[in-house]
Amino acid sequence: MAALLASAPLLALVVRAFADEWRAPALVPQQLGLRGVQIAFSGSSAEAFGNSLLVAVATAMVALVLAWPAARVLGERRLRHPAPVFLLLAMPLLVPSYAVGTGLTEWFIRLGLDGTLPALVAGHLTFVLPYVVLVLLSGFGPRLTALEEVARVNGLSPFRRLLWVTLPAAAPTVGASALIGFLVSWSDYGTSLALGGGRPMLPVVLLPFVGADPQVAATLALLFLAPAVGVLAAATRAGRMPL
Amino acid sequence: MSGHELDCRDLSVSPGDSPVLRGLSLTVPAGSRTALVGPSGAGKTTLLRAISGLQDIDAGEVRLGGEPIHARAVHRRGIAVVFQEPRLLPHIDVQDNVALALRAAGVGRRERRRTAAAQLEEVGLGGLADRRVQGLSGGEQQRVALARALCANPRLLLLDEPLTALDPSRRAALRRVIVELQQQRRLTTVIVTHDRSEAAELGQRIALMLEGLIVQHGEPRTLFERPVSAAVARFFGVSNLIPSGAETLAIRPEHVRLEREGGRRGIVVEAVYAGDHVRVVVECGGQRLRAHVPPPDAPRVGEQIGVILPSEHVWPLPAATSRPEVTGSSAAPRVTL
Amino acid sequence: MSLRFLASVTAVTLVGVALAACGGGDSDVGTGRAAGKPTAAGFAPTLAAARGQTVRWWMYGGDDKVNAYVDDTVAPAARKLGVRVERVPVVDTADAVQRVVAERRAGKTSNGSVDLIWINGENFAGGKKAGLWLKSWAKGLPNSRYLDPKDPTIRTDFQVPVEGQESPWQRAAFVFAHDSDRVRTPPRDLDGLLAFAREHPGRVTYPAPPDFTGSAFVRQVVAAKGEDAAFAYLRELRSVSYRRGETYPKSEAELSRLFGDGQVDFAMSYDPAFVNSGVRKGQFPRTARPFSLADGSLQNTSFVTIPANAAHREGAQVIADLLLTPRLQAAKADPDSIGNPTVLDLDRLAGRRGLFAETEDSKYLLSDYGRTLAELPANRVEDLEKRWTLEVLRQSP
Repeated sequence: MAALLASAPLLALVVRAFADEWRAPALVPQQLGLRGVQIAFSGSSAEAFGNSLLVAVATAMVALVLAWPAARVLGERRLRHPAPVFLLLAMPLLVPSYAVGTGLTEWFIRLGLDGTLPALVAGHLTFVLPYVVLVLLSGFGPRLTALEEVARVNGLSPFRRLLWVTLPAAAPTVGASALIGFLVSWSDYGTSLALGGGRPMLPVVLLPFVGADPQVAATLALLFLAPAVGVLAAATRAGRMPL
Repeated sequence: MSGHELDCRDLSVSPGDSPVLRGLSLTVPAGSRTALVGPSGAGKTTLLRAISGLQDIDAGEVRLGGEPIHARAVHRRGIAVVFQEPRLLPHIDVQDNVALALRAAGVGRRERRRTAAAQLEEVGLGGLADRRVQGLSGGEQQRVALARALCANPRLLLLDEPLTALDPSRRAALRRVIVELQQQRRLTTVIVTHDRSEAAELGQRIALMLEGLIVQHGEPRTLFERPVSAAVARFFGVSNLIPSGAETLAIRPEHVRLEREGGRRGIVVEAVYAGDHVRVVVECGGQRLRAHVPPPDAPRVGEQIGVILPSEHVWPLPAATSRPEVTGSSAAPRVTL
Repeated sequence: MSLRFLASVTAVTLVGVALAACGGGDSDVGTGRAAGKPTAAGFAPTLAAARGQTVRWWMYGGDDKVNAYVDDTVAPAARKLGVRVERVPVVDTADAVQRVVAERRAGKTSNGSVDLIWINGENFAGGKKAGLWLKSWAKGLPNSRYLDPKDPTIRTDFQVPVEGQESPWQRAAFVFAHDSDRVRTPPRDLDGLLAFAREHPGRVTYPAPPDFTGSAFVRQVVAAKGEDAAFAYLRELRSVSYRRGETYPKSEAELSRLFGDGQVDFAMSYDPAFVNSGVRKGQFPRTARPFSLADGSLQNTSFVTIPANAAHREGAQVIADLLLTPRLQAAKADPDSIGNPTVLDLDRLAGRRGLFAETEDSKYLLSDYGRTLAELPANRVEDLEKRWTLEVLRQSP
C-alpha cells in the first residue's frame, strides 16, 4: 500500500511523459504518443546522460573516500569541538550551487581545468561531501566501533577486521550515502553548467524544458529518475533497504 | 581447558584528563570466577578494557598465565569479551557470528560450523545456527554473544555486565548458563556487575572496586559480613555501623534481632514493608539501628522493643580503615583474598 | 522563439552586477575588416579559418522546435562548410553571459568556451557596455545584405545600437490566441478586449508583471494608449477579469494552461508561433487561432553574438551568416519548424522570395502583426511594473 502511494507521483509522471495531448477537464490524456520520447532522446541527451553518470559515479566514489575518515572521527566523538567542523562541512549547503559553481569557475579557468571531468567532480564534491558525511555519520559512530572491538577481541587482524567486519557492517550506510552522493551530483544544475564549460550534462539539458514543455520535462525526468529507481530496486531485491 | 591466572599490577589508566584506574592490582586465580562489583563510575568497564587491550594503559602490567600481555595487540591476547550489548555482526548469520574467532584462526568452514553448532547447543540455542541475528530476542542475542566468546577457546573470559540489558526473568537463566559453562571449562573469568546480590551468585569471589581501586577481594560471605572498611560495608548493605570506643562495629540488618522483652530498649521509628521482610528502624540510646525482620514478627512504629546484636555477627572494622571513605591514596587497602 | 528565452532578457540583475565588477575593459579584437560593404571575397579567409572548428552555441534549451532546427537544419548546413555546431542548452541567457564574465575575470582573453550566444535586450546591452562582445563583425557577413539596415528592430536592440556586435536571426511579436470554437471573432483592439471582458466577466486575464509576458502586455497597452490612459484601462479591466483580478496567473505558462483548459478565452505571448507550439504540445485545442490587435504589436528581434574571447570566432561568424541565408530563414519560418517570421527584408530577396510562400497560409501563424509598436528602453520596464503593482494589483476594485 505504501509502495503504491509512493509510486503514484511516478505513475503520473509516466502518463504525462506519454501524453501528446492533455487538456483539462479530461482526467486522462486526449492522445497518447511518443513526442516526448522523440524529443528527449534527440540532440545531446544521450551524451549528457553519459557525462552525468560518469561525473556522479566519480563524485560519489571520491566523496566516500574523503568522507569515510571524517565521519569516523566525528562519529566516534574523537573531536573535542565538533561544531566548527560541522559548520565548515555544511557551508556549501547554505550557498546556492550556482554561486558555488561560478566562484569555482574562475579558479578552474585560471588553472586551465574548467570543462574537465576532474573540475566537475571537484565542483560537485563541495556540496556532495556534506551529505555523504552526514549520512555516513548516521550509521557510523559508536555502533561501528563496537563491532570493530568485537572483531579485535575475536582475533581479527586489522586488515581482516576492515574486510570482514567494518566494510560489510557499514555497507548499508555506505550504500545509502553513495546513493545520496550520486543523486546530489546527478541532479545538480548550477555547478554542472558553470564548470561544464559547455559539456552536456543531464540537468542542464532537462531544466530548460521544465515549465516550458511539460511532456518533454516529464520524459527527461523519467530518464533522470532511472538510476535512482534502478539502485533502489536492486537494493530491495537484495533484501535489504539501504536506508 | 584450564584457565590461566590473571594478574594485574599497579594499573593506571587516564583516558582524557581524569584518572580512572589509579594503580589498581587484582589477581584472579586460574580457573576461578571473580565478580567485579562497584558503583557506576568506579572504573569496572575501563578495567576490563585495559585487560583486553581495548584501552591503553599508562602504567602497570597485565599478566596472563605468568606472561605479560599488556604490550600485545588485542587480537593476539587470547581474551574473549562479552559486552553489555550483544554486538552481533548484522551481515552474517548466527553460526558465523559464533565462529568468528575460528575463522580468524583459519579453521575450515565445515569444522567451524560443527563447532559453532555444538557451542550454540551448550548455551541453549541449538537449532538457531542458520538464523539471521536480527530476528533474535535480546536474551538469545546475548547467548549468541556468550557462545561466540566461548567458541574462541580463550585463556581468559571477560563479561561486562552481560545481564543488564535483559529483563529480570531472563537474567537468572543466563546467569546459570554462565556459571555452569565456566565451571565445566574451568575458565578464568571476570564478570562485571553493579548488583551486589548478582555478584554473590555469579562470583566464587567478589572484588569490590571503588574509585579506580580494588578495595576488597574475597569470598562473597567475607565481603558481606567482614567488610574491611565502612565504604565496603555500606556497598554491601551493612547498614549498622556502631561506634564503640575507638572502633566501629558492623552488623548486617538481617542479623539484628528484635525482642518484646529484654535487650537494649528502643523505640520503633520506622517500619517499612518490603515484601519478604520488614525494614525496621529502632532509635536506641541516641542511635538508629536497622533490622530486617519477617513480616509476622514486625513491630509497629512507636512500639518499645528490645534490640539484640548477636556477638557472632558483630564485626569490628579494622581500625585503620574505619574512616568513612576510601581515600584513593596508596595507603588504601588492597586485599587480594 | 520562446517565452523562456525572452524572459531571460529581463533577468539582468545578476549579470548587471557581474558586469559592473569587471568594468569596461576593451576588447579590440575585431576581425580586422573595416565595416564596409560585405563581400563574398572578404569573407573567404573567415570561411577558411572556420573549417574544422566546433562552435559551442549557448542558447535557451527549452523549445524542442528551436533545438531541432539547430540540430537538424543548421548543423547539417554547417557541416558542409566544415564547421560543427554544439548546442549548449541553458535555462537563462544570463547563465551564458555569466560564463563569459567569469572567463573575463579569470583573465582568459582567448580560447573562451562560449562561441555564440542567442541573445537580446539587457543581456546584450550589459555585455556591450562591458566590452564582452567581438566588434563590428556582423556587418561583414555576406548574407547581411538581405537585411534592411534602416529597420529600427535590426539596427537597434531594445533601443541599444547593435553596431555589428550581434547578428539577427529571429523575430518576436506580441500575439494573442483565441479558440475559434468558443469565440468566433476575437476583439479587434484593446477597447474591444475590454468590451468582451465586460460582456463575459471572468474570461479575460493576463500574467501578473513582473512576469515577462504580463509585463509586455502592460507595455503593449502603454505603447498603444499612453501611460496614464493605459493604467486607467488596466484598472477597469481588472474589475471584470478572471476572479475579479484578485489573482492573476503567475506566468505565461499558467495563462496558457488556463486557456488550454478552457477557463479563460484568450492567451498571449511574445512568441509569434506560440499557438503553433501550444497545439503541437497538445496544450491548446486544434481550434486555437492567433490574432493581433489593431492598436499594433510590440516587436523585437533576437540576435546571436560572439564573445570577444571566443575560441572559434570564425566558425561562429560562419554560423551567424548561415542563419541569414534565405533557405535557412525560410526553413525556420515553416510552421512545422519554429514558425518564426524571417528577419530578412523580403524585397531584397529577388528570386528567392518564393521560399517564403508556404508561411503565409498556416492557420496557427499570422502573416501580418499590424502596426509595429517599438519596445521601450529596459529602464522604463521596471518603473511600469512597479506602477502596475501599486495602481492595479493593490487597488481594491
